[in-house]
Amino acid sequence: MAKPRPTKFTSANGLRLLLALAAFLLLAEVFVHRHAYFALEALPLFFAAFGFLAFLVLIAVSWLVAKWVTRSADYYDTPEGDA
Amino acid sequence: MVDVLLSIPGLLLIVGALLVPMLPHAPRQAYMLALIAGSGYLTFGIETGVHVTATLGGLDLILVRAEAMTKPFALVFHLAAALNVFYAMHDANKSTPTAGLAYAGAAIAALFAGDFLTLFLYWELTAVTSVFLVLAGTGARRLGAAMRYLLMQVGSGVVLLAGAVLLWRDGTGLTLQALDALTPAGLCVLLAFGIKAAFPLVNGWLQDAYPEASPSGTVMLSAFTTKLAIYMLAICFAGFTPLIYIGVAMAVLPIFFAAMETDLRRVLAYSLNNQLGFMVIGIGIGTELALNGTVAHAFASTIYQGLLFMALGAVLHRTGTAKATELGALAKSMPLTAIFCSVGALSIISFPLLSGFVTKSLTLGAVAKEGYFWVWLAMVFATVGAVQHVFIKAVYLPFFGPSRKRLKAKEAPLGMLVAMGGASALCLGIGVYPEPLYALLPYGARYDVWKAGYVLGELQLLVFASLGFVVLSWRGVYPAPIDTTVLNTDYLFRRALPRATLAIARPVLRVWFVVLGGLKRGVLQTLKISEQASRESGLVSGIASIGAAAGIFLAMFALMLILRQVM
Repeated sequence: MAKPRPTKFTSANGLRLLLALAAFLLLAEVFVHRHAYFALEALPLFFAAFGFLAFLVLIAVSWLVAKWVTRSADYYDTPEGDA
Repeated sequence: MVDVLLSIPGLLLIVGALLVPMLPHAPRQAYMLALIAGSGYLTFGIETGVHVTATLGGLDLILVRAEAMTKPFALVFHLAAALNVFYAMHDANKSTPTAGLAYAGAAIAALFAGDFLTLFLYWELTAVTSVFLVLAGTGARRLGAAMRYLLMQVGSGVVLLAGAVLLWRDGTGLTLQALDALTPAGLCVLLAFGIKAAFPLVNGWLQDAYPEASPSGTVMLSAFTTKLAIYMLAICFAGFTPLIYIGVAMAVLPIFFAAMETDLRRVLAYSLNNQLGFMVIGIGIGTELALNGTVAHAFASTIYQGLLFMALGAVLHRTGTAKATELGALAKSMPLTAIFCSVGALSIISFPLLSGFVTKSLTLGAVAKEGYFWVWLAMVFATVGAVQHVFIKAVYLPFFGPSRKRLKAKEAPLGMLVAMGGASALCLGIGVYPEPLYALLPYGARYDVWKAGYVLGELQLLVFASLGFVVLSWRGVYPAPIDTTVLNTDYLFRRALPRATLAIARPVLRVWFVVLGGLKRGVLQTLKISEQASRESGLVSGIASIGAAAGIFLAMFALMLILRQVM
């Protein structure tokens, strides 16, 4: 098996668009009142921070768990597996 | 006869499917579309209430009954069935459309079942028709997957029947209605529905079997079984609080598995599981707004999940693979598929102006209104999961990501494009103008999803989650896809159970063979000694020895009798 290359985000235009969108949404926070049910949700930029951090946590946790639950691609093809 | 055919929704499709394999290709497509249109027309006119009853051996059966939430489910099942015909149009294979049509019919008929026995009949019919869709796959693993799928599906039916028998014995009657889950009968029914709704621990069949079917088979599978189970849970167990936490587990756990998985159709199977979690949470909350949310979300997700399976199925059809390790830059060769797939992905991550936003938000709003903070937070987290495994992994990287060597593809066949275009139009239509869908919902409860603040929060969530991906990939730490097997809960009965059985059986067998071997040697030894002793010149060849031998024999016999008594 070839050594997997790390996935790169390569699109320069995509990046510009995403950054512009992010900047706009941060700015919009000043003008728009978000109606909140919960105290935490009412914090400024809660969704922006949560979205960003949750993504990192998700990748980190699945990277850690992967060591436990991944096996070779043909694991079930042999009668008793490789574990 | 014709009366019966027309008065029971779905029956037209089940019986009509018998003709499908006998027709040539073009008339077959027209015939199936006509059947679905006719069935849809007949079904949509059915008002709430009991319509057709029958008695069988003293049991009162309700063959056709419509509840307030039956209509939206019946409508989306017909829509999905029709889109599936277009999607499979390029394929000369006859077994898939035949099984698919009968499967859709069985699922529609099940929606209108008013008692558990009638439901059992269609519940099993969806199992035995849909297994042919798994069998129609091309991979070597499909046979095993199909058998495991059938075991779970039919097993669910058997548990349902057990529940029905218990209900009948308790005198509750067979009518399909709200049940107390904490009775033996209620637990049986809950488990039966739970298996088909892919509850945690009994979800393995979904990720095991769906990705093994043919491209069109997977699309058909994704629509009916799980949504039928959601409908039944909503009828029988609305407001059963533990469902909230079962739903949270369903919404959150699959996103980690989806992050590790390489087969993109399997990623979508995890994503389907995650969507079902949102619906189960809504059922557990059980308020009018929450149930409206569940029904609306089931409606929209049937279409966008189907659309995503269609797009990745088209990729599989054209390139021969749906593995993240082998796909990239497909938007150049499959531009329309890329656009449609993006619409599906934006819908599932509930981007404003698309169907996921105006439906999932109802459930989120209901959860927030009832004050379940952690449940709400878990649902927001699960949405970030969808951004990662659908938006980035299953759509962005294969279609817009770095190109791969030796990957050749061309645009999907016309029928597939029509189906994907239709599904995309529905996603957009519902997202922009949700009023007709809201009008179909069972309750009057409304929720204003368009509050500016809510849209802003949602957009921030999606954009900053995507930024998380950008930052990680810049740092070179976003994990590359690796071709592996991710152990799912089907591991329990494919590996863990056989191993546990062997682990118990081995020592028992060892002891058993030691004891048996010892006894055998003992008997042989005794025979040998007595043989030597009884020879003419032997120790006990005299007359007295016969009496002694008889005495020993009697003593052994007595011991045996005593042992028998004791055992």
